[in-house]
Amino acid sequence: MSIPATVAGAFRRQMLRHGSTRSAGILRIALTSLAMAKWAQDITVDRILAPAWLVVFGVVMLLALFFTLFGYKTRWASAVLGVCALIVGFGLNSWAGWQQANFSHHEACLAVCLALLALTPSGGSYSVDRWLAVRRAQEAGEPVPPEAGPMWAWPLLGVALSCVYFYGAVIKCHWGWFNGDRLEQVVMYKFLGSELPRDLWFHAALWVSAWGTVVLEFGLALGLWFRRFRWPLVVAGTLFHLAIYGTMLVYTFSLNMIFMYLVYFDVDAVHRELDRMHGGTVPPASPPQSVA
Amino acid sequence: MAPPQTPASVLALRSVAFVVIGAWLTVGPLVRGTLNQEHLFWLPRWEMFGKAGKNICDVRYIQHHTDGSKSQVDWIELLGRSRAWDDRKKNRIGSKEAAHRTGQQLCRRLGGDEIDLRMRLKCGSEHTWKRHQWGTLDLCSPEGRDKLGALR
Repeated sequence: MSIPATVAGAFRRQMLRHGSTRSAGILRIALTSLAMAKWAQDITVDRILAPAWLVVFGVVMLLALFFTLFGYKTRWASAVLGVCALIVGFGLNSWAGWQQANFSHHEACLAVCLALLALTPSGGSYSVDRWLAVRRAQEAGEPVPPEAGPMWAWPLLGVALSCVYFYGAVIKCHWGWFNGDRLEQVVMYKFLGSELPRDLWFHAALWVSAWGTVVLEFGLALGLWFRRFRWPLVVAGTLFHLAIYGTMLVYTFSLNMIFMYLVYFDVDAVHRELDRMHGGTVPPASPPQSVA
Repeated sequence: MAPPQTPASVLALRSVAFVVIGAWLTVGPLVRGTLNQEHLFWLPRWEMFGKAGKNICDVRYIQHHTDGSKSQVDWIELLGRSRAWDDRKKNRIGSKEAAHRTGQQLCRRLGGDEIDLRMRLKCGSEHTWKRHQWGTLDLCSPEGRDKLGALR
């Protein structure tokens, strides 16, 4: 079979892909919680007050956040949340003064992830929607519907994450980064003030960190797609993000990236692993505790 | 349970959406970030500390003595500041003007016009350190004071 035909076939299979919704459900809860931590305090009525359209926007986004978090009417709520998040992450946050910089790539990243998640059936698992669907089926004497749905858009989440790493590495590909100058500036700005240490070890550590960061970012951008490298890179990426979370005031960004590693794992494999974890048994009722 | 049949129109819509969104995700940061088209605000841009911390200068003040010798001035000590870990970042000098202003304070502390105080100043940028002053100007001289006025 020719290469174009193979690619076309793989693309068509992806567009028809039907798979477990558990990964999307987990990601829905994780990312929506981060979005609430990031934005919810800025969009309450008492914080906005005026103009009126912004108050309405805030109320709509808050409702979409709540509905998506708990997974009720998830299809619509996540779509509305995705649009609202893109509006906030790509300009409204700066315009309204919720964000000091002209553009926060942390917020934009979260917005893109939420918008892409809206293209998946993320309410199919761990949601009120799922609970209602199971209850309806049982009341009607029908089999419980499978936790599955169209997952054609799932790889786009991986593409988004890979692009964050890839372009994050590309922008660092200049001599000022590789010789440690830029990291010296970051460390001095954050911790040391305007006295650059003349210590060889300090410079060596920054030089290694600078090279290591670029290598790791390129590695994460490309390697997470391959099963062979996935787990080592997930561990390395998680440690990297926890390190910058602890030192660089990045708040929700690190957790956003760590949660998103889930998208590189096959959704049905994750489903089976969760089944294995749950054990599939109902624990016996505990006897009542006696009071001494 | 077999997955439901997908109508051809839905399949076509998904395909178009996948390609368009995929292009936005992959090419968008190249255009806005790498090619620096910042006005295209609707495209994503990812930098991950590519521009962080550039508002910092590394400054050393050097006193030139009449016998031709030089000595580095401990400006933090002289200005009564602290090197304690939680105080160090208060010793940030973020611009040429701030470095000159600190130099003028040092001139007054060291003894006024009689002192020949120079600085080696480099400040951060998006790419590397940029040298601004490298011991060429006596900060305590009238020219040094004029330079501060010009920077303001």
